[in-house]
Amino acid sequence: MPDYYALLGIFRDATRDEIKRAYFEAAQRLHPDKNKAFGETEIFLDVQQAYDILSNSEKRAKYDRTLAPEENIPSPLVQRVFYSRQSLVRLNETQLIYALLEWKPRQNKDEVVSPPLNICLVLDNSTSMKGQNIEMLKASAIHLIRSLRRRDILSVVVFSDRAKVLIPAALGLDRRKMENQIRMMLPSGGTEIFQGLQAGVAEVRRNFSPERVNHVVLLTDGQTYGDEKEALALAEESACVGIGISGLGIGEDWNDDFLDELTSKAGSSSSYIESPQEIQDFLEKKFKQLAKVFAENVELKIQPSPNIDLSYVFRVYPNAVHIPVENTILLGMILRDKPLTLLLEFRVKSTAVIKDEVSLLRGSLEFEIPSKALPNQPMRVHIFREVTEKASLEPPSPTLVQALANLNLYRMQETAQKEASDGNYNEASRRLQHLATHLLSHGERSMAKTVLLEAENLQQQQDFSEEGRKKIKYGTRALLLPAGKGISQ
Amino acid sequence: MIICSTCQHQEVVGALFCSECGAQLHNMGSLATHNIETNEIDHNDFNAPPSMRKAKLDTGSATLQILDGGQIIPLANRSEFTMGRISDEQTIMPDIDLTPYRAYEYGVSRLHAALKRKEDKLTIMDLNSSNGTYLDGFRLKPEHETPLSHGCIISLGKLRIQFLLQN
Repeated sequence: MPDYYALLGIFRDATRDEIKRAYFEAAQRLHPDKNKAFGETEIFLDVQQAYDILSNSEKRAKYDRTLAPEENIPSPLVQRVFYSRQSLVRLNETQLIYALLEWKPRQNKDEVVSPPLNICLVLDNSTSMKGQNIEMLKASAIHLIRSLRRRDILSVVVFSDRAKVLIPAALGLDRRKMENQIRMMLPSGGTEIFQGLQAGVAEVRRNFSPERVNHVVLLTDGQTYGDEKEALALAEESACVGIGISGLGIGEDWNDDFLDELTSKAGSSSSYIESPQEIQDFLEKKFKQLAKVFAENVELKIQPSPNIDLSYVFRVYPNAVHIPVENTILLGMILRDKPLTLLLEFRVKSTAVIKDEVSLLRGSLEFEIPSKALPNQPMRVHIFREVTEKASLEPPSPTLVQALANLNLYRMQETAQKEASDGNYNEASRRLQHLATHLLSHGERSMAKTVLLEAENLQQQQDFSEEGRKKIKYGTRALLLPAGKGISQ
Repeated sequence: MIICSTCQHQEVVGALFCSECGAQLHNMGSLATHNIETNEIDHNDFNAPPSMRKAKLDTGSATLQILDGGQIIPLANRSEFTMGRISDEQTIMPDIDLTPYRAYEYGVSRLHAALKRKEDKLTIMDLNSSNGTYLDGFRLKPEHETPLSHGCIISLGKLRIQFLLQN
């Protein structure tokens, strides 16, 4: 008999509501009217059967007795945790502890199949793209078209005040025609990101399949006006159906906070490049990354605890970004060759350390694996520490210290930006000077120079230069990547 | 509370870095000396006679460096590229666009030269450009393939580019 819990992607102790919700989700996806893949109708019938049994408490109890214990079923993911301290100390004040969480596929990276891609490039075609930007973009897009694999789908949407589908999402299109379409792009008009995004998401949806990597890559060089809210709502909606969004900003005039918020709602992050020459590099790396996806739509669901404050979440890899703390944290994708790495900061209140053991985080990790049609059972995540009377002398994990040292630099610029926007220019400037010192000691001379220039700008003009601000933000963020610089491979 | 020894700022127990000045609070002997790898640079490469340093190509390890600007163009892992500059009037596009490096001023043609990968060698061929292609100062015969070696200087018109192999 199949494991009905795994089939519905729920735990053994799922409540009736959870069972019902999981059933509706699975049934919707697998309904014979919609599914096309071979064998899905059989799975749909199994799902019906699963609900029939699990929704009836008598049948469920009887069925439960036939199952092997849950611990014996290996999850397709493996988890690893590093802590900044071996134990918490019984103290009368708040204390901090850091944890670095890693998840990677259980299989060897060579055994993991690369899912085919279903990607839409959403390209800014506004007047400001004229010149080098658009030419580099055309060349890079053509380069990508030439590198597509047989089963990959690439659609292209261009947008200014309105959007136009340049290459529709379909298999087996004539590549020469696709290239010609790209060559004929002619920039004009303003920048309305929502228009482009909407058309892009629609293209991806046309061929949406859980067995593909469904993703929108947005490239822009400008500010969007007045449609931020709609765009954010659309990103959220896309994430719900399983479409990721990555963003690239070119030059200095685009809104990085907006693009970060937009992409992090859809499990990814934004990147920044100074000059159009880097477009091709970004796109190549992005596509390489998407071709290496093992699991998608990874979500960490957290049960909040009153005595523990999860105060900072940063995804180190892939797509480094500061993630807002919510009960459901969208983590995006897990690649087949490098673990998804998350850095967490907990503020532990004195009321928590009365017990001998403290649960820092209790929750579950939900994910989808494109190469498998069936839903997966989520993974339980429980990280905890002992409470001792004296501080442990064991040094923290070097991996964690390294990550924290770099995160520390990123957070310093975050704080400086906040201080500057609150009008505390002297504080911000002083903080940047500290940051520059640390950067120099890390051997990051050119970034240190940029930081010092901005410290001066803050003193004299009471503002950052837009270019410098972005350089510092994305530069310190790139320090966190394992390879050092640039977007993750 | 713990106090940062650098700036005297107060931090919560368990913090590893000062939130004020960014100094490391916890001394955990992690300031290990890092050795810079020097053995990866092959000194013989430049000193060997030109005939000995025929380009051996690993995948994607070759780059072009614009000598005036210092920008580096990596050569993607493909067997053939054309170099030139994109212009508005024509639809033929070179694989490597040199417009950003002031190609027009330097007299680079729209389709100037082609690089070809053959087995483990890379060759260059002039595509009947107006101002010619030079290799280490010698003008190349148009439509004639000439092998490239590490460190050699290619001139497209007056735009000088150095060919480099990463290892």
